[in-house]
Amino acid sequence: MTMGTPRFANLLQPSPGFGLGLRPQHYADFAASKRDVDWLEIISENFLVDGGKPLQWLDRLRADYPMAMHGVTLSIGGSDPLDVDYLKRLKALAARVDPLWVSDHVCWGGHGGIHAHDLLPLPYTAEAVRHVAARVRQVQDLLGRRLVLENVSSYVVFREDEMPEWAFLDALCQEADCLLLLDLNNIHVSAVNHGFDALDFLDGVSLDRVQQVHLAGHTVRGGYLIDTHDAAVADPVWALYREFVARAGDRATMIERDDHIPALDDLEAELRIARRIAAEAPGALAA
Amino acid sequence: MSSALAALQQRFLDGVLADGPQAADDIRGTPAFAVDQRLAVYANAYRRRLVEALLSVFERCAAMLGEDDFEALASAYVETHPPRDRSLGRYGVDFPEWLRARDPERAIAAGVAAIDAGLRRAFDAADAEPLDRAVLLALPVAAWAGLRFEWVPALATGKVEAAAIDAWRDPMASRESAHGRSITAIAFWRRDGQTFFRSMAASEALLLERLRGGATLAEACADEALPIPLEVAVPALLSWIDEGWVARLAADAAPG
Repeated sequence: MTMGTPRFANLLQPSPGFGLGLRPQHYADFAASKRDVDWLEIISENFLVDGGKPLQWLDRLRADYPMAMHGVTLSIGGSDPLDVDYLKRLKALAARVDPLWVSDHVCWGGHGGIHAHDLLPLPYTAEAVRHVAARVRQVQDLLGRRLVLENVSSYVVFREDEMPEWAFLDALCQEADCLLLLDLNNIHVSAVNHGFDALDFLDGVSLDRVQQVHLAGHTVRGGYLIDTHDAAVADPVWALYREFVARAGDRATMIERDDHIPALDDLEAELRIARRIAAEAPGALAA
Repeated sequence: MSSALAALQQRFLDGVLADGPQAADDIRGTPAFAVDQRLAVYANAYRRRLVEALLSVFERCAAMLGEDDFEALASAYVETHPPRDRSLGRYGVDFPEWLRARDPERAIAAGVAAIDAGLRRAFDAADAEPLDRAVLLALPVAAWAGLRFEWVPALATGKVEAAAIDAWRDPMASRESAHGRSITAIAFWRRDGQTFFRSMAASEALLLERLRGGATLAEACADEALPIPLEVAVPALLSWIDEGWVARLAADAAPG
């Protein structure tokens, strides 16, 4: 496999601290007073609209908070051609937001013109690395910025897999010169569902490529886990975060809640747990 | 593009859409988490997500039908309507028509769904500053006949069962009725961030259609098929301006 030539300066953006996923339920709270939140992550697709209140809220809150853009429909691993119109709209949104970075997922989201509106799993093969890396490079060229890609929770292992997920991600980063958004909940969910050690995942990816961390909750279904993002961060995920910061140090960290959205105060309290764990990490700077 | 990857993705997606075993031979399972259970996670998530998307858009329709009844209908829709739009928010644009065609006895609920959909479309349509009526009133009345208008992007029109309007306002108290049914024209728009709708008389809807089609005020009123008196058209136009439907005077009709 050929190594990609780095085309973007500065591998990682400096960490902006501890953030939350921006959800409509909290727009008014964020506008009413400055919260104990360093930055916000927006779902890009929620703002790929022509006008109206969503964009008014976006502009209003962007004035007070740095923002990262997080997409869910890029389908970087798909076999359908990249949607250039979507990418142009994404680029226009980035021009409006001036985001910390732009992220999406290592997955595919549809085929043959049908959108499953899900983060579907890729086979971990060298061929798939080349396929996805080529598309990442196209996207990065069009957006004019390095892409940050998130590991997804998965429920299947393909018979044709040639490597573990972490090796796939590492090869992708090297081949495409992109960065990682490590969702530690997703690592835990996949580790339980597939029977690997989550620490092998952390040890298997290049941590100097990890721009951002997601923390989230999940649902236990008998012998497996479902990545529902609808509950508080679970203890095993906090433990994994502790391991992560011990290895990687200070990285942009965010709590992502997509359903059963609690009061903003509750999410801030959860974020304080992350702050404390990061502060306790070996080598962390005293607050 | 990798043809092997494309073929795998086709099988996997076929399995998701059909809730079937199309990709079962591609997957490794374990005794604790069998292949069919693993694939079912994706098939179930697909259905749940789309039904929730429909519930989100067609909130009043669901309130009228009851959540169980609506979910059964939404699930039936999902089985035959795989999303072809990247935006989940636009999923179900033809759900009201599908509901009306599938269950003619649910015409009022279909009308409520059409109102839900019209308001949803107006919610994030492109912004436009509405015309101030003072601009029109500053012109000599004689010049009005030659005016054409440009409309705010959030403005849209449709037709629904007249009873759907009251049903949308109080869906929990509304029931289908086959008695006294009639169709009414309806307009949707957004002003100051709020979405609105209201019914229109047939003559008002016809005038609006003609003007939105590019006719001058005089042309719209003088259409031989069905003339509209100026004393009807001018108050209608002024009310539209006050409601925020008109964006500006068309360039070719602006005063010189």
